[in-house]
Amino acid sequence: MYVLAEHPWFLAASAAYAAATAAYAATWRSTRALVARVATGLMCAAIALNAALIAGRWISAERPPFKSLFESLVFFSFTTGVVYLVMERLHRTRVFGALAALMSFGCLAYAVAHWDAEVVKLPPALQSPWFVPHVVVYFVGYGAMAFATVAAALQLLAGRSAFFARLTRVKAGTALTGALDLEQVTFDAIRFGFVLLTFGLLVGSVWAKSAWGDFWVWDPKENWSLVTWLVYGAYLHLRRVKGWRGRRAAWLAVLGFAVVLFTYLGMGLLPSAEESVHVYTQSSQS
Amino acid sequence: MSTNASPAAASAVAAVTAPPTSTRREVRRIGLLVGGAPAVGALIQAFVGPGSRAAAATAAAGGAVVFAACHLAPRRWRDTLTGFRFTAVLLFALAAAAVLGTVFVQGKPAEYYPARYDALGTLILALRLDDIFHSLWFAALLGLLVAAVASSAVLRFPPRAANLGFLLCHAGLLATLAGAAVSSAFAVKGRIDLHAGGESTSKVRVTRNGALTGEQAELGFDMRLDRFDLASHDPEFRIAYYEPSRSGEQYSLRASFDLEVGVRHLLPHGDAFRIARLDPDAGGAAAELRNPAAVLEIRTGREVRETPLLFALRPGSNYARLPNGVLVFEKRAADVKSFVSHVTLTSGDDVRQARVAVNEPLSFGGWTLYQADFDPRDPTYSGMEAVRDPGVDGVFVGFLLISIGVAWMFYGGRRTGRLAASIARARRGDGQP
Ligand code: HEM
Repeated sequence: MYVLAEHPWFLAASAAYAAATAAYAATWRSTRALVARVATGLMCAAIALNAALIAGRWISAERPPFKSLFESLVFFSFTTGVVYLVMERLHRTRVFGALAALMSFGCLAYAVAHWDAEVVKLPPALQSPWFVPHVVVYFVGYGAMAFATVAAALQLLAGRSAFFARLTRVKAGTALTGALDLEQVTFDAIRFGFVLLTFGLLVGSVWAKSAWGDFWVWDPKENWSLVTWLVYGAYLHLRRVKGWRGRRAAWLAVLGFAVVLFTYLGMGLLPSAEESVHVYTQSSQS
Repeated sequence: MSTNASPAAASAVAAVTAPPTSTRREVRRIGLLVGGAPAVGALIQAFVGPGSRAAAATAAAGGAVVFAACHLAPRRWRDTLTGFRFTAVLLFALAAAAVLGTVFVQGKPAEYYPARYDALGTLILALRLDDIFHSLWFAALLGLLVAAVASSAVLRFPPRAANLGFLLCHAGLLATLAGAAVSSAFAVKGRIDLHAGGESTSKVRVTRNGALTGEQAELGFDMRLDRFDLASHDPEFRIAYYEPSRSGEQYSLRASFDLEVGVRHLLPHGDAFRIARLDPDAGGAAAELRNPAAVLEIRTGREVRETPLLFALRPGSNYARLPNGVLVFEKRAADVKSFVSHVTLTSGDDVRQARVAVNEPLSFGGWTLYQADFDPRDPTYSGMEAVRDPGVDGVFVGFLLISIGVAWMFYGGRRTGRLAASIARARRGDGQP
C-alpha cells in the first residue's frame, strides 16, 4: 500500500504490533523464557513506535493529534497497548498478549484505511483546556475496556475449546503463577475503565457547557456515550445478582465493548448523524 | 488490585439477595415498575402538552410517588426497587430510550415524520418519539431512577467509610438529575447579534432547541460590542493530489504535501513526484510566498518528466495530469483560528470591559455569554449566545460527587470492609445487598 511506503514509521509500528501478536501467540505453545521476553520486548517496541507517531503528528500539526478519526485511531492503538502492558505486569501473565496486540494492530490497520489526506487545523471549539484530558481519559478507558473484552473473550473461548481452557491454566509465557480467574480479570479492567468513562463523560459535559452553553443536548454521540456508560453500569450491578456471573457476565462485557465500538465508529450509520456536531469528519480519502 | 472481596463472598451476597423461589415474582414486580411507569407517563402525556417543565415535574412527582409507595407497600416492593436486578433492568431501559433517540431524528416539525416514515410517523408523534427526552414516558423512567437511587441511598444511611463511595456517587446522581430538572424547566437561552463599533443591546432573543421563539428576555444590563477580532490561520500553499471518483464526475483529495523542494513523495499507483524548483514570488522579488510558482518532477513507471512552471494563483496553469489523477498547486482558503468579542457591560454604576471568546464564556449579572458565530462576509458581526441556567451548579456538584464516589468505591481501599458489612447484614437476614 502506497501510504505505508510513503510513511515508513507507520509501517514499522504496524509490523512491530504484528510481530508482537505472533510472538505472544507463540507463548501459548512455548513456556520458554526467551519467547516470553521477545514477545514483551516487541510489544514495548511497538508501543514506543506508536508513541513516536503520535508525538511526530503533534509536532507537525502543531496541536494535539486527536482531531480526526485517523488520529484518534492511532492514539487508541497506543492506549490499548499501554493498558495491556500494565495488565501483563499486574496479572503476571501473557495469555492476553496475542489478542491485545492484535487489537492494537487492527486499530493501526484501520487508521491506514482511513488515512487523512491532509492535516486539518483545530477549529475554535476544540481549542479548549478540556480537549486533551477528555480525549486521553476516554481512550485510556476504551483501552481498559478493550482489555476487559480480551479477557472475557478468552473466558468464553475457554468454555468452548480445550485448547483455550488449558491456556488459562498453564504457565503461558512462563509468567503465570496459578490458574487465572478470568472473570475477576475482566471485572478489574471494567471497573478501572468505568471510572475513566465516568470522568470522560462528565468532563465532556463540562466542556460542552463552556463551549456551547449546554451540558447535554441529547446529540447522538452523547447518547451513545451514555448508553456505553449505562451498559457497563448494568454490568457492575448485575454482578451482584445470582446467575449473572460466568458466561453471562462475559457476554455482557463483550456487549459493552460492542457499544463502545459503535459509539466510536458507527455514528455515521445513524439516520440522525447529519444532525450531530460530534461525528468524526472523515477526510475524502479511503 | 488486592482490595477485591472473593467472588465466593460476593455470590454469597447475591444468593441472599435473590433466593430462587422468589426470583420469578421479583422479575414480575420489576416488569410492572419498569413497564408501568412509562405507560403511566404516556397516558398523562395524552392530556398534557409537551414541554420541559411538564417533563421535569413528571420526573420529580413520579419519583416521589414511587419512593413513597414502595416504602409504604409491603417490604418486598422496596427490596425490589433497591435491588441490583431492578437497577440493571432500569439502566438497560434508559439505554434503550437513549438509543431510540438516535434512531429517530429528534425535534423536527410535526410534518416531517409522516413524510419521512409514512404510517409509522403518526405513531412516532403519538408516542412523542420525535422528542423522547422531553416526553413524559421518559420522564417517568427518570422518576423511577430517582426513586431507586434515593431509596437505596436512604437505606444505607448514615454514611460509613465502607459505603461512602456508594453514597457520594448515588447522591451525585440525584444532584445531577435535580440540577438537570431545574435547568430544563427554568433555563433561558437566547441569541444576541451585534456589530462592532458600539452597537449595544439589553435584550436576548429567546431560542428553544436552537430556533427563535419570537420572545425577548431582559438581560438586566446593557452590553456594547466595542470590537470584534476575527483571526484566521495563515493561508497555505500546498501540492494536492486528486483522483476522480468512480463515476468520474468529481475529484477527491487523496493526499497533500508541504512545499519542500527536493523531497520525493510517493503517490497511489506507484507514481512519484518531487518539487524540482520553487519561486516564492513569480514576477516579483518577495522572499515569502506571494505568487509562488513551481516545477514538479514527475515519475510514472520508468518515465521521468518535468512539468512546465505551475502558478498556484493562476487557474488553468496550476496543475499537472498523471495517468490516474492530477497534481494541483493550490492556495487553501484560510481557516478561522479564533473570534473574540470585546464588550462593555453596564449595570447601573457597574461598568466592566471584558472579552467573550469560544471556550471562554463570560458570566455577568446572572447570565453567561458565549461566543457563537461570525460572518465571513461581515467582519464586524458577532453572534453571541446568552444563557441563564439556575440548575447548572447542581449538575456540576453532582458531577463532582459522582466522580469522587465512583473512584472511591473502586479504589478507596474500603471495598473489602463494605462487602464484609453487607454480607454480615445479609446473614442477619434483612435481605438487602
Ligand atoms: C446510572 C446510574 C448508576 C450508576 C452509575 C451506579 C453506579 C454504581 C456502582 C459503580 C456501584 C459499585 C458496584 C460494585 O461495587 O461492584 C454501585 C453500587 C450500588 N448501586 Fe448503583 N449506580 C447507579 C444507579 C443505581 C440505582 C438506580 C440504584 C438503585 C437501586 C443503585 C443501587 C446500588 C447499590 C445498592 C449498590 C451497592 C452498594 C454497596 O455495595 O454498598 N445504583 N452503583
